[in-house]
Amino acid sequence: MSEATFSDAAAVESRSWFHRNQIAITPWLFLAPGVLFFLFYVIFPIFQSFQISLYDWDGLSPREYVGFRNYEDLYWEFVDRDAFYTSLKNNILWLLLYLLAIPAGLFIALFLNQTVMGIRLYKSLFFFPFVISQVVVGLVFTWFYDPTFGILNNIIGVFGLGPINVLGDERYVTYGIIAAGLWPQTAYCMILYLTGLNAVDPEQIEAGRLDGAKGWKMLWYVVIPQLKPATFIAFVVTIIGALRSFDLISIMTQGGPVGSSRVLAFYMFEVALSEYGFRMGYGAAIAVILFLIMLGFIAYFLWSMYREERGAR
Amino acid sequence: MFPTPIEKTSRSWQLTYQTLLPLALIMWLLPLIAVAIFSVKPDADFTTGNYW
Repeated sequence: MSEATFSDAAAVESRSWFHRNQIAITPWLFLAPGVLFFLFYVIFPIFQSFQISLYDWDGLSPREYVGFRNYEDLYWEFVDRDAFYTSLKNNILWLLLYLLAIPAGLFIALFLNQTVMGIRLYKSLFFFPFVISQVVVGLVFTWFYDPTFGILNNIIGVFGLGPINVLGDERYVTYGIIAAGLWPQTAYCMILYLTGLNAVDPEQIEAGRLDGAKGWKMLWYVVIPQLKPATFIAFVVTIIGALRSFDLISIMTQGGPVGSSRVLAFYMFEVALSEYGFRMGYGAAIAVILFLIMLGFIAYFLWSMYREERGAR
Repeated sequence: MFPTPIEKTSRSWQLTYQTLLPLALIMWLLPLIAVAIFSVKPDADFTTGNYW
């Protein structure tokens, strides 16, 4: 018996380091390709953007180190209420108004959460705006808003109003583009909430009904608390989507009229990569500012998720 | 289930819901419907200003 134990111990000692630590190492080996891709395509470019923002560079000639001058220029653009100020202001507008997709999606989900004949077809068609490309959404709404043949002006003309040149008026253009963006985003939130409503505990609903809760009170005190996971995901995706908005501005207005619909992502593209740009350092500085704004929200979301996981244990 | 299944409500609410459902869908897809109508109209209509 003791000889068998001694030979087992010797066999364990003779195994390689990898065999001895296989269980601990294997998960990291599986994660390694994904982590490497993430490091190479996400983390490294973030640091590279910060590095480029310290230079004056047109992308072709040798770079000239200028320190924080690009950030200084951005600061004076903000103080003088120039392009950077407009872009930041529009991003804040996007951030606030894009959140309307969440209650709108909940409202439509509640409207469609029935079992009548054909409801699946209705749900699919309500989801359709999310399926189509953002470029198509932009084009569709460009024609929708057109002051000559757009159907919007035809409809408001029936009430004696208009015509309004939504995309040509500095006062309305950002709101018009946000409305176009809300269309697919509301569809996305709708699907999240439809899934969430399917997971609502029927016993809690029944208990609420027995206690006399109905309508708004049932929704607020019984249903919405159970929709917290769906609301969290809707919130995260909507906030990130609002800060990343580029496609619709690029398709619908190219930042116009007179740069009034610019957002940070589009302004960054304009100064760095467009035919009027080639200021890579300046564009990188805008990218860093945008990243820092997003980082604040991402840190909050990660902290919320971590707190949720700790509470669940 | 929330909201209350429409089958358990009165007949008038059921009819209202059945009417609102397609109307809501048409309003929701109005931009796409408008583009679809546009895509099948002849060029002559555009040149004469007869958009709709």
